[in-house]
Amino acid sequence: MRPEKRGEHSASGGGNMSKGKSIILLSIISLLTAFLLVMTFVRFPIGVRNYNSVLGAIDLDYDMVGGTAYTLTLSEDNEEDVDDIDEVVDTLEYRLRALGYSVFSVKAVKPADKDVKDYEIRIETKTTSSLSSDISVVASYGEIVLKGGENANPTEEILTEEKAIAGANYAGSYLGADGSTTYYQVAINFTEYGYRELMNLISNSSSYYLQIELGEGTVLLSGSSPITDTAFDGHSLGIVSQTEAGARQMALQVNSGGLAYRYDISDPVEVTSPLGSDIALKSAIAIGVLSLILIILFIVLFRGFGVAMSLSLLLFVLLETIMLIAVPGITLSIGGVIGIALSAVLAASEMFLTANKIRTEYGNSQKTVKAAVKKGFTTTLVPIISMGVCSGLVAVFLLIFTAGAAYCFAATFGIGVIVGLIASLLFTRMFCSLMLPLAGDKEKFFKFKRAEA
Amino acid sequence: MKTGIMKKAKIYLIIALVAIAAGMTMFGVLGFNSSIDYRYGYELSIEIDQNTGNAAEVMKDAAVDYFATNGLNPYYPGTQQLDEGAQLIYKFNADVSEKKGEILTAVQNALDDKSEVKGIKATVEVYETNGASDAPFGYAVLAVGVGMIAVAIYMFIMQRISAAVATLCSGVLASALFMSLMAIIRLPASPFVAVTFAASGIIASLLSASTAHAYKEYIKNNDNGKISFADIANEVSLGEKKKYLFTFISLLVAAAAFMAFGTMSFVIMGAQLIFAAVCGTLSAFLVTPFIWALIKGAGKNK
Repeated sequence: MRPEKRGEHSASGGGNMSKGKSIILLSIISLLTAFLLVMTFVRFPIGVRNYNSVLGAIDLDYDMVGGTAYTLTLSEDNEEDVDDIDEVVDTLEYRLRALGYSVFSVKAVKPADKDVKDYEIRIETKTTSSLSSDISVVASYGEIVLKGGENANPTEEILTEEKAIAGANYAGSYLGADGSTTYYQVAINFTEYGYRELMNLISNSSSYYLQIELGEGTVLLSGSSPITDTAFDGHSLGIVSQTEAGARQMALQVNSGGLAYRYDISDPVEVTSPLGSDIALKSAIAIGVLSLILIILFIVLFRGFGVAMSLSLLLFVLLETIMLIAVPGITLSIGGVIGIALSAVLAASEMFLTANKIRTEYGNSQKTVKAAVKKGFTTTLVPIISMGVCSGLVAVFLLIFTAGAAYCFAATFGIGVIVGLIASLLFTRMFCSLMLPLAGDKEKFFKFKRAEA
Repeated sequence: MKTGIMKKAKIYLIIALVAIAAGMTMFGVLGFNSSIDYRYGYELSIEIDQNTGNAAEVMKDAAVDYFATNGLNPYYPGTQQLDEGAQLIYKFNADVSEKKGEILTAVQNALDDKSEVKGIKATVEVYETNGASDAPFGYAVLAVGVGMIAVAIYMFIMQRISAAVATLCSGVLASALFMSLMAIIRLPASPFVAVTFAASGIIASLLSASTAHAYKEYIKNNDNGKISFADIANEVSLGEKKKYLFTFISLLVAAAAFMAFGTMSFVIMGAQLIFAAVCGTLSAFLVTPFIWALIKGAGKNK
């Protein structure tokens, strides 16, 4: 067995890495890691403002921090009896999802010990700036009515023989001519019948006004300006809103109309998480405890190499946390917490695979520690990438097909897969390269042993 | 011919298929144990008209004491901050209307006993609930199913048919077994059953994929033409045992870290994670070598 010599070639097969260089690089990385740790977890005042840490900046969903509740009560002037409360609940849930709410609770409740016929509906979801108007839209009553005429704000109903509107969709935003105002567009898609009849009406008038209403009194498209055939793109009529929330609400209302029953909406009430108290804090502690136990396992099982794995895992946790605010559109729910935990386990398993392979390579051959490390990383590259690809593929389809907790799980798990691959393939190798020159007895440092002949 | 893993795999497959048959039947008849966060349960609402001092705490302590004394076991206490008062909501699977009067007495007496909150009026109501709070489970099944097929295609490109089928079978079996166990044991499905269901399939797929690579590596590095595929599968899988054990223990640690808080939702989530870990790792460990060797021709030499 050839004894390890100090200052041998690094595990990456590059040039010599001297002890001094290793110490300097490790020190820089440690400082950077410490800086990231502080920025991720510590809150402190900066002048008159407060820095809330990366953790504090994560957008949390209703099941993590609670939100706002509204109660819908059947109105006194509601005309029809509610036949199927399940259908009402399902409709409300569909509408909430269409407006971008992923985690919420919609429950129909009625007193259990009183002879009450009708359910109240309680909606609980994350507090947003547009929640009040969103709830009004979701619970709106009535059918879509089209009114038209040659005067502004027409009152005569038109296009009543068949279905005139096929649907509507939010068509994105654009900058106005002034270059600073953003407008949000809704495309209202007319049926063949609706388009044909409307074109006839427009062409037979010097100026024609169209008004779209929902039920009694809710105006979706104001008939204050005339419309012309140039406003149409094919069978679609483009309408502009000043806000994105307004545009999405309008698209939803045109698409799904109103509820068949009239409900009164209560004042908003603040509610806590349905899962219990301090869920966000407990989740963070649980992930921290999981990471700590994995680090202890690494060090106990692999000693020096375990230190490299531990530092990589620490960087994984920090990067994953930063990604939660760097990647747009992530609102963390309990599904997302499970995704982070599972991706941490995946990253740890990948590192374990490499460590075990290196140990086997060293034990079953006459390779030096450095050669065994290099061979181990090379051999496990493809299996680790396969593990990542397999996980990522399922995550992609979960993103496509699911909503709510499963969607958030797929998002955080998918990010974790990518960060985990970087941690297990890049960071671990980097730390190993930096630590090897510092170890006197490399075999003892990495807890390697030759297999007995 | 060494057949340790193969024999265990056959036994596991038989047990798993019986469990899946029983579980799917129960699922078809009863569905999951939809806790009251899905539909059909009862809510006990305790409300006070003023939230001065520590009135909400007094109300909560009185309610918790009453439940403990009378053997009532509610789920997920939630609170609402009203404009002037406060409201506690406890969720039950059974109707507790008959206890309403006693609960009101217990809470009102507790408020009257404390001078700083004396005079605050409490009211208690029991509501029958009907509602759902998460996306349908079916979409998660669809997503995982399509994902498994994509994984199989990837493994076919990387490793050919035996690895592809082995990975697909272990992933599908893990997911089906998870669903069946949930239906048989009646663990509350809660809002995250879709997540843990997906996790079971993912765990099985990724472990199976890395094991399939180990078979390929073994064949490449060993010139012994007399060893059968079954023996290769057996030997490699036994060598992979540490990886499976580490992954399983890590998942158990993750589950325990959540369950340690004692919050009902976290206990259920942790239990589901344990199910996912068991189904995922066992299916990958036992089914992968069995299917791989079967397709390669178990008794044939390489």
